[in-house]
Amino acid sequence: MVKKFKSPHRFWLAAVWLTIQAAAVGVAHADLIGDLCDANADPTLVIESLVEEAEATGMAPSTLNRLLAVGYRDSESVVDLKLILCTIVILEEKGLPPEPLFEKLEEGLGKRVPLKSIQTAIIIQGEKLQYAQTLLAGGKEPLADDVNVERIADLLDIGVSRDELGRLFGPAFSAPTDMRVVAAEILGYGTISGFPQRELNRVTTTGLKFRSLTPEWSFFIKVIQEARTQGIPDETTATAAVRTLAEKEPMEDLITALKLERKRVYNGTNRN
Amino acid sequence: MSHHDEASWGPHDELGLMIGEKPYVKPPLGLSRRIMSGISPKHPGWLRKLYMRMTTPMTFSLSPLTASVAAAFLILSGGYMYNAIIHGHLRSPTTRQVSGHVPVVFRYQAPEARSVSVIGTFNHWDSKGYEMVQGPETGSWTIRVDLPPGKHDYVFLVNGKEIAPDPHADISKADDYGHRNSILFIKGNNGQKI
Repeated sequence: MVKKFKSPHRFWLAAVWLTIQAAAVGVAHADLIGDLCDANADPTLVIESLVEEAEATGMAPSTLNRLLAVGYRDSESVVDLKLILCTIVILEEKGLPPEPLFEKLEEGLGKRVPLKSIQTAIIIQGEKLQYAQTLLAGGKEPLADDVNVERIADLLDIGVSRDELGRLFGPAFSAPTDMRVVAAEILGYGTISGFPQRELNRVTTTGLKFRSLTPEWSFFIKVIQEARTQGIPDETTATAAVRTLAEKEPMEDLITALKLERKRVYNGTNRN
Repeated sequence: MSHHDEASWGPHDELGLMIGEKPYVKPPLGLSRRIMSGISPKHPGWLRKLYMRMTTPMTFSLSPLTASVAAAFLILSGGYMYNAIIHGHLRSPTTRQVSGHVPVVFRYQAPEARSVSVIGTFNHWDSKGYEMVQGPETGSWTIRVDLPPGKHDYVFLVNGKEIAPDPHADISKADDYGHRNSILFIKGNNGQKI
């Protein structure tokens, strides 16, 4: 149904009214979560409502069932169950992507970790996501870029420092966000595999300067690994990568230049 | 039974005599055909035909040569199925060959373990359906999983409770739970993001 307004004045009145209503609903919902997660709230009485709130965040029924099965084992774990549900609901309410939180929960359940430790891990994950969101926003309002937020948070796990990320996302480079994330991934995975830091800086700086870090360069680590298997020194790999990036050529050209077997780089794993 | 065609139908026929000396009225066109079609035997449906065929005993005649060929075919196909099942090719989840996915064999050496599963981001860290099979000679546990391109974190779950990272993985990271996750990269052909 289309409502026609006879005057712009009435339209603005309606708009203000709807905004007030929406804000009231938001405040009421926040109040509800506040009440449910109150430290004095009896867990056995609020779990059902919290489960509904968790479902509303998009938590898969299978994950929820696994959590409930562990949470209802004894009266102590019910308290932790409430805390986990509250943590997820509150973090999602803050605008963080819920998927990495669910994943952290699933990981804890799969590893048979006590619920209390799972809650702590979820809080740590939330803090990393919040940092990543702020970093990507660059001082502006956070955008809905959950994939990159998740990738940056993941890099913190593998040991990329916040200073390093600040440098890559700072004003020194003008490359798009996606390319900066790829640069951070090259830096992170290269560092933990022992690739020389100086060479990694050469590769990432060239890629950002020439804006040639397409998504496939996230897999530069696979080229590093395969090149090492073939006995190629890291410096040679880095020099070839810098040349490929400066010429804005695809990573395929790097694989050819290093005379690597394409199939092994693309699909080969050390588990086969 | 004698058949009369409509033109010869008249008061002097037997039927005419039976119904008396009523004046002759020519029957409407197609009456005879309609009556005959109503009393003609009905054709059974294909389902009924199939049922009848399947429940009727049949006799096969085979020459020794044909019988040998048939027996060889049955033995070969049976052998293939047995081999596929024994080597795990037909076991879930290893049969989930999805387009664009890459088959990966996870291997973990633990001859003394009672059970080993692989859990990771690709199965929501749920060991159900990802139990590994122990080789009788080497004692190592294996499973084949088809994974999509991307980055996958995983560990081995030994005896249903102990966490063990892959000792052969090139890269691992801390997991906030006091363990380390092994990391596996699989690159597709389309430049997917990690």
